[in-house]
Amino acid sequence: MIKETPSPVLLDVGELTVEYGSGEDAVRAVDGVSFQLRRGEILGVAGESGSGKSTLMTAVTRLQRPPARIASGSVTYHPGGSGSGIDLLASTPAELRELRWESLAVVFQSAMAALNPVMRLGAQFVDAIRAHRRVGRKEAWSRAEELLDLVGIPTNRVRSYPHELSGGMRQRATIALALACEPEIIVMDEPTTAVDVVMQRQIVHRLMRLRRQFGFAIVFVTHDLSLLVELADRIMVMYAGRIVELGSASAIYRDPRHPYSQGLRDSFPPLHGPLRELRGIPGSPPDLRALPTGCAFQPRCPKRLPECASTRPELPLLVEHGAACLLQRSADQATVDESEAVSR
Amino acid sequence: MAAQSKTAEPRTVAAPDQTPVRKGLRAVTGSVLAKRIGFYLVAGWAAITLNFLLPRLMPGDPASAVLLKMSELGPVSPQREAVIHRLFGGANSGPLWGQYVAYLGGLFRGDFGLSIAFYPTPVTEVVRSGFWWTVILVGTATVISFGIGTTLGVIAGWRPGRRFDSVASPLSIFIHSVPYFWIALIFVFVFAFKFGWLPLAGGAGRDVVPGFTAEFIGSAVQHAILPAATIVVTSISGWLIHMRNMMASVVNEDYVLLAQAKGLAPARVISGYAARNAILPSISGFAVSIGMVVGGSLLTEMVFNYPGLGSLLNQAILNLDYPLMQGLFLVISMTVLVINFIADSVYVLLDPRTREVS
Ligand SMILES: Nc1ncnc2c1ncn2[C@@H]1O[C@H](COP(=O)(O)OP(=O)(O)O)[C@@H](O)[C@H]1O
Ligand SMILES: [Mg+2]
Repeated sequence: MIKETPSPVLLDVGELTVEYGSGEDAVRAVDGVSFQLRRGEILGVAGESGSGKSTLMTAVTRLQRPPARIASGSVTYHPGGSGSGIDLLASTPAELRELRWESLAVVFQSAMAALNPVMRLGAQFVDAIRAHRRVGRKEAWSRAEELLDLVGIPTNRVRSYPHELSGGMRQRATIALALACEPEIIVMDEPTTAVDVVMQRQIVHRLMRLRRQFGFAIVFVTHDLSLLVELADRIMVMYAGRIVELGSASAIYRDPRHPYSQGLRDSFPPLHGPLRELRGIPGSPPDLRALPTGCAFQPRCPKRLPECASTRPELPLLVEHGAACLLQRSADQATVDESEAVSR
Repeated sequence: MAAQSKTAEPRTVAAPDQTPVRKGLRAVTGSVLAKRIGFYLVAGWAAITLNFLLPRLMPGDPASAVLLKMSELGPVSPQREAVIHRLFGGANSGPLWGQYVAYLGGLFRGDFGLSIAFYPTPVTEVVRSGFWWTVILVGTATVISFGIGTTLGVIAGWRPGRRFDSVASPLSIFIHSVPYFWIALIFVFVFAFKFGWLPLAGGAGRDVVPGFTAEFIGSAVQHAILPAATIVVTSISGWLIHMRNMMASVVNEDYVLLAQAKGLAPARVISGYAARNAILPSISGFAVSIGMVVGGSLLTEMVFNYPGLGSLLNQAILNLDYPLMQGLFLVISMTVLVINFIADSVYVLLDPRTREVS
């Protein structure tokens, strides 16, 4: 899964901070998050609910709504992975409209809520297609049928209303909708959380096939780490609005370096391979208004060190696989000591 | 009423993949419509029957009261006496069942007897003359205020808390709390009395012959402006607040966010997604107020001495004109039913979720 020459960067997010409200009672739901999305890759974003995944995704796509507010940071889109970048945070609404769906599409968690209940399924495709392409109505409708066919929905469903479809069909329809203008990037916020496990696997497999066919990049958000391992090239793990671990999917699954990632991995059954004993993470997600000092995970951490309460660990930059954890630093230190001992 | 039950949450129905969708849908729509027509037929029958029973259950004897009044106005022929007994029962009018059949027969012939207040004009004629005055004045005013109020509500609710909303919404709530007759009296004082721009009262000039002439229509329009304006000004605010609140909640829906994510123009997001859904509850409200047009214009018509149904009802009550009252009640209840039926059907067209048979 690790590519020899990394693909060019499509989306570059730098030190993004998003707050709810402003002034004294501002809640910082995303805190200095940086990551890159490469062309054609599937980047998984994992974390318990409340860790700021959706807030991050709506901010990256400029879909955040009040009281959410981007406090600082940058989001740069490089069309086709080119050197020139478009500063999404500085773009005007009209400039954004040009990019939307044409380059950047989204899939939401609840397809029932994301589809207009009073509009035929096909019309919701036609709307998107005709906003960006100069095609006739008839052509747009047959394009909608094609798209439904891609995700295994009978084409006669194009004239159905959302409530007439099953949950799995609706979810697949929103994925088909995201493909309408063949975007480069699709941001999916928990697209499989609302469907059952069988449908979940079907959707994941179909997504992988479509990715091979069309070559788009996906940011796939979920709280289910074992699902991500099946799907993603790289995974980033979020806790309390920060990235606590970033690395290749296999490395994070085999060798999670942050105790939180370990806990997350062990709280979902793997889709393949031997069953592990399932353990939840003790305690509950932190109150963002009153974060613990030092490492935010420290009160729940089974491997807590005394200095965890005072020192906030940073995510190491420019490494294949890194975790924001003090243990990690002492582990690195230990490796260094060992090699020094050997060399002596 | 029936319209309320449909604002309920959509039910999730797992439909099998291979159903012939369109044919099924049409059948479902058809059966829902049939059910609804059935409901309104029953409601119409109930209203008519109630209208028949009420004077017969009333304490005292309306029939002899009416006959007494008529004899004061002139000699009463035996046929006219029979009509009164058919309409209101009374001492020598036979068994109830027979009265009911005779009553229904008279109803279908459009025979409601003679009005007391406008003796000896038939009730049908009196009601017909007032009906058009009211429907045109109050109907037009209601449609206009619904249109303007809803549009302003859409604008206010699309960006709640922004400048337009923070002016329009508090202002609407203020206007909404001012009593109608206050505003009406101010309008009359300023525009009719002080400046004399518009006529004070009436439906048209006294010296203008009613008819389909430019002179009459011009005069009628001139007389209608002031009462219509008072209705529009006082009822816009209600529509505005209602639509603004619906809109402010709908704009938080995922489907509106997805419409924006698709890169649609804001006008399209509003018309096809946000307002399109937010207006659904207003449809039932609109039906109710359109239905009330016929009966609910009492205050306006009294202030402006307008020759519509409201004034007629007022006169009927003052003169104990039972035949006229009965005729008016029947017209009012039938209009409410017909308008509600139309609104229900429009609602079914606008909200596909209601086409399911439960
Ligand atoms: N509308 C909101 N108003 C205020 N705070 C919010 C709102 N939505 C989310 N938050 C805060 O942001 C945090 C992250 O939420 P979210 O991004 O939805 O997390 P996730 O998608 O990972 O479940 C929540 O814990 C909550 O404190
Ligand atoms: Mg979320």
